[in-house]
Amino acid sequence: MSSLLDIGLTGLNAAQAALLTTSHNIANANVDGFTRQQIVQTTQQPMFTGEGFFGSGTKVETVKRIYSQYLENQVMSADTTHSQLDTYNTQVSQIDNLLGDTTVGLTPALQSFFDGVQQVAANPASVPSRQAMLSNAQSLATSFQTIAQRLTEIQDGVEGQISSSVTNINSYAAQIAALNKSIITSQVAGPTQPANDLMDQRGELVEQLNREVGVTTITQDDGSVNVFIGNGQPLVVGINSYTVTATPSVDDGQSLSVGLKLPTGNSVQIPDSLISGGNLGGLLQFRADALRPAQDALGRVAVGITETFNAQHKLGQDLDGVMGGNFFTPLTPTVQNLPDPTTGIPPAATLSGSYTSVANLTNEDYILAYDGTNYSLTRQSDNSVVYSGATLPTNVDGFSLSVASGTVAAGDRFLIQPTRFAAQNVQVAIQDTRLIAAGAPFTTAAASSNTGTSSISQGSVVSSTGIASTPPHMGNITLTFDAGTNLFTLGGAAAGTLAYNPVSDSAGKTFTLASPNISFTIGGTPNTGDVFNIASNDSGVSDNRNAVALGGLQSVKTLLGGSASFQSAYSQLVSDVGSQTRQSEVGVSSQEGLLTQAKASQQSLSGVNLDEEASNLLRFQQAYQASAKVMSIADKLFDAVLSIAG
Amino acid sequence: MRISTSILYDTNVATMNNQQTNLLQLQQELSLGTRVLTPSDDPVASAAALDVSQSEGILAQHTNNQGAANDSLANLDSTLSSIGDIVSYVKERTVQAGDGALSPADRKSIATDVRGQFASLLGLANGTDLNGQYMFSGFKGDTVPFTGSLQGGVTYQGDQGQRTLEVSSSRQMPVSNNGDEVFMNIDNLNGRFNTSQGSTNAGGAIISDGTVVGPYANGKYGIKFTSPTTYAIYDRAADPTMTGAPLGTGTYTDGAPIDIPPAPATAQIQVSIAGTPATGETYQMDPGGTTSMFTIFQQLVGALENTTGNSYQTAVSDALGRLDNAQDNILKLRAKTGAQQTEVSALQDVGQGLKVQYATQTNRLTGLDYASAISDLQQQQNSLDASQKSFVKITSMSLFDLL
Repeated sequence: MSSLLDIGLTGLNAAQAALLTTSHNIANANVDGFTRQQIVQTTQQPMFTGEGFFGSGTKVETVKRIYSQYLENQVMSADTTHSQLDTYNTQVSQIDNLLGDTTVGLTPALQSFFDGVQQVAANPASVPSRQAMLSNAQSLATSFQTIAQRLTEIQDGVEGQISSSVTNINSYAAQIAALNKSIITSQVAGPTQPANDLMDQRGELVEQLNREVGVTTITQDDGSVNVFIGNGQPLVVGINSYTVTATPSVDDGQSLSVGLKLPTGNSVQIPDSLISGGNLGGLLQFRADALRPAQDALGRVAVGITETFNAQHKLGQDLDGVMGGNFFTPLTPTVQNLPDPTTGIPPAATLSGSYTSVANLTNEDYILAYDGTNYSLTRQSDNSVVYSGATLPTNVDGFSLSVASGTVAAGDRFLIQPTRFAAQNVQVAIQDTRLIAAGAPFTTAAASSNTGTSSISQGSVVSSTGIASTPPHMGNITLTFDAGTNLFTLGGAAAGTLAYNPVSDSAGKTFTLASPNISFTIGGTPNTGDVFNIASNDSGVSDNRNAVALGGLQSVKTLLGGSASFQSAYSQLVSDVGSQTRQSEVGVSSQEGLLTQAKASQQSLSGVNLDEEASNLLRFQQAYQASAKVMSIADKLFDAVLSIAG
Repeated sequence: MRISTSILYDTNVATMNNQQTNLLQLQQELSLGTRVLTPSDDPVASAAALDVSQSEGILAQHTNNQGAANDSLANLDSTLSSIGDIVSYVKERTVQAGDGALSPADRKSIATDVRGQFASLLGLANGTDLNGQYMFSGFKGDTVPFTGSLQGGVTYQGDQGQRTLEVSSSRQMPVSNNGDEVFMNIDNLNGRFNTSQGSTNAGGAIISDGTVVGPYANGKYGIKFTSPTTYAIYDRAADPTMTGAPLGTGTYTDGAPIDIPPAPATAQIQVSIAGTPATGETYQMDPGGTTSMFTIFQQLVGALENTTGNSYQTAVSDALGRLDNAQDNILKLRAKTGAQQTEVSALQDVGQGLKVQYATQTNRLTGLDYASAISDLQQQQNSLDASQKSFVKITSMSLFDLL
């Protein structure tokens, strides 16, 4: 009889435990990271009698989480990639919007600048036209500066977010280590009685950490998890957590690099490329793949315009007849002295850079290192050595370096960013409208005594060799033809002969003189004694030859190895950023799909379904009532026996 | 499959978010009339659209330049036409002057008229264009192109520079004529050399155009009067100042031909001087088959005022021949200007066509198909509506409601 009562009691207890767990599930249905729990119920040891085994009721073995590490890993993997792409997309959209905005984009400014140049070409002596060209040049400079400044702001934002992301990572790591400690303490009975709710809490923290930076986890026998970032750098080991730092990079003092603080107190930098996943991975990827290339590409257009425009401007003469100077303030590659990784002392020497070929400029950063005998120039993106030699590189990838002051010592390292900061420094060098060099410094003329039918073109300047900067720019030169020898004899300020065959060359033959370095075309049939005169173009205020040449630069393919004009180089930047944004948008949405699916499968196993819990409530309530009935029947049986006795 | 209650909510919220994002994008596309809001919406098209916008900008600049070229050419043409009017008027007067019955007083009055026309011609030659630059000075737009007087001769201060405008990407159109080609480059009658008188001459005598009679080797010669009736002939290539030993000397006869170089050398050219030369006056012969419009006027006035008889008739008929050449020159230049104007208007037509083409291209690249966008918008609205309604229905079902 008493065993009947005992069995009823075990059933009553088990049903109560089940009801308890069900209510716990219902109460936590909306808690992030909560995993539904169930009791594990088994039969008690049966009693052996002569008639066989009699059951002795039920018992609750443990409370278990309905949890799958496999599904959880799927969610983690999708989540960290999603978070990385989402961050990347948020950032790159900013550049996308910036370049897509037609009012601040470079295209309209570039167009109106060249409109201004064309106006001067149309009216070289007109002060209003010249003023329009200067004003438009000013707005082009402002446009470059505005875009560059906005990109710098975005960069500052990224650096700030890297710092705060690192702070978050450290905070999560500390909390995970603390929970590890609690779990180890709670599970003294061994892994068979798991600390379910603590594990859920820790799981949720790991998920959040994973959204900040991609992690890998390994569960230990004592119930703790070890967390690693990068390619195996430990973040949490058992009850200890390590500190992640964000410090200026050894390869670029102006950007932050993520490092791990060792127990010794030193911090070891983790290369950006090793950190993937999560918010931090997205930020680092954006900085390397989108932001820097955009800054470099914009800077390259700026360098292209200033260098080629200045070069052409110097071949012309201004309204006072003086040879032109720089139209834009010349830009230079940025050279940064890198501190020695161990001592922290930067090189004492200062280097200065200059551009030698805008067509060969790349979107790359370079590290120049000196080992005491040789310099080596390493391209950072692929670590390939593009130059090594005993002297500083000249005309490598479009730029040259020279020592400005001091002596380069063995072990010195320099960071060279050829175009990174160029766009923000674009400035118009001249303010006086008279200083615009619209004319060419020489004129050509056929002598009025000529009897033949030949003519000479207006000519153009090849380089400033042999051309004085103030008028007269050159001595008078005469070209006298002799039909007997088919030669033009140079006289005056130049000597020598030029072969010209009226039969084969009458359509036009182009000659280039070495000094002054000019070229012109002669056509037609000259007679013996016919003379062409070349003279300094003094007071040639209506000459627009150089302005036409300046205007022509708009469509000349000067950049990207001679394959792109200024506008098409900029269009390429817009298209690149657009593609990156598009790609990341597509990536985000497909990753979102993956994440939703992974979460749905995970939740379909571990999530709480309230309808299910409701039916469980009914089921366990009935089980409770049934066990109570067993006890009541036992009581009645006992009463019946008593009444016999009575 | 087992569904967790919270994922039911999460999924619905995410779906509705997406639908609202799409709605916003469509709404913006509709209100801006473009399907490319940011480059990422279509990177290739937006980069191509930027390139097209540069082409459009260049076209607009060329259209401007074409307008400016048209203005300059019209202005040039009207000035050339006025110059042509002066030349043909003077030609008329010269024809009148050929009438043998004219009295010296009549000739004088014609001469006065031609002097007046000379002044108008010089005024036109020193005219300015729409921008205040001297029209005929080549590149030296601030330099007065022609200085001098009828008496002392006119010299050209400009150069042979030709002002151009970029009217299309491959065409630099000349929009000016330099003074040299308009005024200083008139074919003279002999076609090989030209004659002129010293700038300090008193103007009592004139030199004829002359003729080539032998193997002219482009020599430079000069005649200097040592007295009103005697002269000396110099080789100015060797002796530019005509102060050394002369090649020969001669006695002056009004209108008689003078062989140059003088005998015993073989005569190469022949000139004649008519009127009353004064001591110290010089006359030059330089290679080159051209003369200037101003010299023609100068010689005509000299003939009208100082010569008589045969010399007068020769001088007048020479002047007529040279004025014809001057007129031809002006007509040639006007024809060129006219052809350029035609070219500009053809370019303007091409520009109009290109403008439409660029607009079409831009529209094709980034323009919005309204019909499909509006239908997309409607569809998107419907599905958002469906999501919202079904969400409310599904979430209102719970077993707890029935307990």
